Amino acid sequence: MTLPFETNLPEKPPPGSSPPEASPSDSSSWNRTLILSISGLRFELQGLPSELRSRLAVRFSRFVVEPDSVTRANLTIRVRPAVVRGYLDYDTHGQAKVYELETRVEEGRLHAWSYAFSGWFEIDGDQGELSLCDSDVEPPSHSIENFLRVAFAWKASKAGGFLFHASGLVRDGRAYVFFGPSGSGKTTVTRLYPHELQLNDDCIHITRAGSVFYAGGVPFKGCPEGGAQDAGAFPIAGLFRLVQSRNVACERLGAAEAMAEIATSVPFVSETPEGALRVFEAAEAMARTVPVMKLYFELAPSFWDVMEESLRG
Amino acid sequence: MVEATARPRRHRSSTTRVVDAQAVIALADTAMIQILNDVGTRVWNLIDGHRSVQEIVAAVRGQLETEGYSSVSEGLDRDVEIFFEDLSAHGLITWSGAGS
Repeated sequence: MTLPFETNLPEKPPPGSSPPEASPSDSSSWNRTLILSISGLRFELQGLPSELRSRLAVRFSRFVVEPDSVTRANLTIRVRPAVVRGYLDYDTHGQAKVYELETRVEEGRLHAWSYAFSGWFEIDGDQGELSLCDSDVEPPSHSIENFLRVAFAWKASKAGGFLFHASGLVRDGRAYVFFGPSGSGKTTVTRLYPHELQLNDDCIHITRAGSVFYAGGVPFKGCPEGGAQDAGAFPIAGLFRLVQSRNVACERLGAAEAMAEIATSVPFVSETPEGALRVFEAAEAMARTVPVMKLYFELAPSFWDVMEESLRG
Repeated sequence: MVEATARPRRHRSSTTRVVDAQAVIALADTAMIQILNDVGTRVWNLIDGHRSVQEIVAAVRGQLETEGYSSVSEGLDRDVEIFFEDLSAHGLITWSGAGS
């Protein structure tokens, strides 16, 4: 399965350019814990080596929380070194390759694996495991982020929300969410407005409180400069399905089309009938509450006025 | 060519939600999503693995004529046949009984 999000594999670093993230050969040092609170969901990573834990604490800095005796994690993941050199075959023949990740649901567990990791978590429970390879192709910190992305998508769906393949900006306390297939301009839109608070350049957590839908920041990145600038959640002003065009225009979508467009941009969970139904229910509720529009735009900041006018109309 | 006595069945990994009289269908195996119009939704709602194509056409024709859409029911047989060919081509249905 080729992922919908815009993550390309890194170039192999030149020798000596950076220290390795973890050494699977010394498993006795894999004993550190990191707890992340992401948009109301809590993930505990156990069994990390010290250097990897430090690296993740920096990468996910806005989402790291201290342990306490009261709050239970939505998912506890036991991390361990893999006993194999890799999982999915990585062979580019000199060509750039878009990231691949496989998943499978089996006996109440979601199994996920890519080039340098393999793991599982209980869909309805709170336990999981993750094996990491020592790899330059997919460094352990990237492996953990990609596994967490899948886990978060499922846990968010079980909690009534969903992980949305979209970028988001906050203006005047309201979130403007931009979505569409890879290459539609999600990341570019956020770069056109660098002075606005960026929720994320690649994915956003959608939640609901009563009749109000919120867009929340998550730590998963679409590019090295991306990721969340804020860990909070903001009421959604509108959802904008991006279509690159020479003309700038906004067209409101009917409920069915809006729901279909939204569901197309919800990764992982829609791959099972049960997950798809949950996504449909949430997407329909949002399509009936939040303006969902097709935004025809060119890669310049001029579209924002058209967008605001459409929301007022 | 769709046999009139063939019985269509929805793909087991399909998920449906009807919104404003339009069926939105997701096919998990392919991550595909389709939206059906009013007549397509009526046909889809009648697909249960037991009704034959001709029974479905008759049922939809009855609905449309009852609601005053007699002109729409003309040509319905051919339209529904094409629709079933499309559904089959997109993997949304399978067939039991006399095949297509």
